[in-house]
Amino acid sequence: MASAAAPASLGRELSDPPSDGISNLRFSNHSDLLLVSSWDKSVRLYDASANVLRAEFMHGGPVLDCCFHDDSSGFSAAADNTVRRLLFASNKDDILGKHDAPVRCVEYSYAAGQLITGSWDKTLKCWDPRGASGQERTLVGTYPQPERVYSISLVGHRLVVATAGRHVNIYDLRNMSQPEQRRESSLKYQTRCVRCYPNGTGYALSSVEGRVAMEFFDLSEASQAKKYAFKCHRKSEAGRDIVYPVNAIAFHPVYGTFATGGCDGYVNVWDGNNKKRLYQYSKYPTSIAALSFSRDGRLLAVASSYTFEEGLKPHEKDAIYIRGVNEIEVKPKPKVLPPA
Amino acid sequence: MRDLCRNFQRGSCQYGDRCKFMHAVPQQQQQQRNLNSNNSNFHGFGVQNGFHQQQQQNANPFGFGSKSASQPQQQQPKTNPFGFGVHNNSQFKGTPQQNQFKPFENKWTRGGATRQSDNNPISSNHECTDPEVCKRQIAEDFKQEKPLWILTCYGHAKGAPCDIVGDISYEELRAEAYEHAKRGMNLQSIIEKERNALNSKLAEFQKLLSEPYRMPFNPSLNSQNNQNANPFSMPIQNTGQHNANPFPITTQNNGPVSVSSFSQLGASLNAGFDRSTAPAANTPPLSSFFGSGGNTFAPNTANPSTRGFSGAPSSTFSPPAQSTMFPNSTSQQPSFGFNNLSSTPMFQTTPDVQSSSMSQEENVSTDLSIWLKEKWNPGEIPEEAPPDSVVR
Repeated sequence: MASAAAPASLGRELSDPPSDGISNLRFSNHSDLLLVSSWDKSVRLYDASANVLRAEFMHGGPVLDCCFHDDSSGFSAAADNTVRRLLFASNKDDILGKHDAPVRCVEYSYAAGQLITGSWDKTLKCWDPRGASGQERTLVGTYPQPERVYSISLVGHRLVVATAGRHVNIYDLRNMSQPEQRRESSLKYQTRCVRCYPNGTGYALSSVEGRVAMEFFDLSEASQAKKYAFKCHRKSEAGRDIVYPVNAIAFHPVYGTFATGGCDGYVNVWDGNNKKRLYQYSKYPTSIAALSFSRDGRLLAVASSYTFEEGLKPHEKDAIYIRGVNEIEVKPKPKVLPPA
Repeated sequence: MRDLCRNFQRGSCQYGDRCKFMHAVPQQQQQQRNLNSNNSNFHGFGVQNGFHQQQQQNANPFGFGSKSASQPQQQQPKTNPFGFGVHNNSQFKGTPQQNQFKPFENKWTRGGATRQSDNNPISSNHECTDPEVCKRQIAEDFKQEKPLWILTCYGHAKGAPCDIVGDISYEELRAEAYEHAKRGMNLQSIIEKERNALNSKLAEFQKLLSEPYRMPFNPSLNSQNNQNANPFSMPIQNTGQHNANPFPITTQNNGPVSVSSFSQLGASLNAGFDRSTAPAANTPPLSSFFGSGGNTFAPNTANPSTRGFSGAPSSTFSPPAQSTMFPNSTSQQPSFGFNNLSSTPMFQTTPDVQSSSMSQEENVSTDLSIWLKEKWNPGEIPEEAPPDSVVR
């Protein structure tokens, strides 16, 4: 796993990384293919286990998000306002549609068979990717949001949308005419990332203030009493905390525990049920921009890529590390029970 | 009859046959009692919440949180010895053999300093009934938890709308900067723009902190306000903006929602800027800040800082000597005026800023002529909202 340059403790560095910041990366649901979107206007497809670049797509502007459809195609969201479909085998892409402003997030819903994109033009759009390209054919609906969309996440039929101004909208994909729930974030500062729990009961929301809130969909008192928030990705220095934004959250597909990555360069793994931190990986050279577990949870892709939280400054080069995941790092620890 | 041997009841007696008490199966009554306690022990944490030994995630996984969610600083509620939901207490109060097992202690571990009290670090259920409490909350937040990222929104009560709006994500800032660079704007201008955005956001935070906090939901308390005489009584959202009807600043309709991210950024930053721009119909001074297409605007950038700030932030910004464009370049990036943000965030100047801005405000608010101008030159824009008298 050790590469010549990086210490083995960080994982294997992916060769041929993008030449500029990494906005997001995702493992496929079917294999160890990794899709990476970057500020260098490219989307790259890697075979993470073989450490080989398989395909590359250039867009008209920085690419802010990407996702898989299946192992033969994917989608991307770019700052040139386009939503594109990517065909891996032919290395070709076509424009599925456009927003009025940079498209920030893209997610494919297997449950609904639709592609969902969120943009800084304050709308969410749903697309049917089976149609021929051209907005008239593919656009299913446009849903206004209170503010610019920053992050979205899907589980089953639920969609969670986090926008600027700390708004959170929860939709049922079967009825998009209005949000199922409208909430404000439990945290006090700007939302960075939202991810639904794999078991579909709620979502985790992270902000720039070094906190993660664990929320639940069920509005009953009993469920709402379970919600909590915890501090993370902070460094104590000279009596006060340096508070880092938490950029990325990724749930382990098997254990339901989750990893968070922050601008402090650390990746922590948490057990949400027991409210414990399970592990902290060695510090990465720069901010963690994105995290993704492989479908079996054996690999974790870490994008160590400066995210501009301090403006333009000299920074470490952007890199992607693929690390093997050990059970002890991600498995919830059994509770110590009294003898019966 | 001799008494029953207690040790034998518990499982073993060291005297064995020699024991002077009776080693016998306990009688009916005692049997009953033992059985009950055994049951409760066996289940560990009881029949009430159905917890079983091997489960991790079912039945009340957040029982620990159920109490603590509503009680701030209460890490391990005493009434909840098993660390679980509130329902199982009655079951075990009467059991005689509680000492047989340890209560489950959920030590909420964290890396770093002792943070045991972090169970619910945000003041839960904060209701904006007392402005002093709100203000204290805000002051505490700013002192303890200033995020590294400055262009953020802020709401002092969780689950409630923002007090300071108009946040920018770093992706938006980066996208805008790339756009400008692509269009040929030089680095210095880009830096200055970003610096302005930061300064004005800092000003907003300072404002929120320094003024007695006005509840967005309770207009009657406006009378408590200081001389800044904010006419706002709008619920939600625009507290920090002193948004009343004459200043219909909403992020939605600021500027056209046009193609480039730049105008979005400009629009949202307009909202974030002090509403002082509203009287000027189409905000000409502000638009020059971001200048569609990046014109020179250098003069006005210095002014906001000389106005009320300690001036420290702007003085430490030194335009970099290099002028290389940063996007798509290799890893060697030119240093940027933002550097001073890295280790000691600009927030650190706030204590000084606060006092000076307070006195500044007094000066400015009495100078009403500024409000009567038709058009402002860059740098003249007052930081605060206009007083009631000039509001039409």
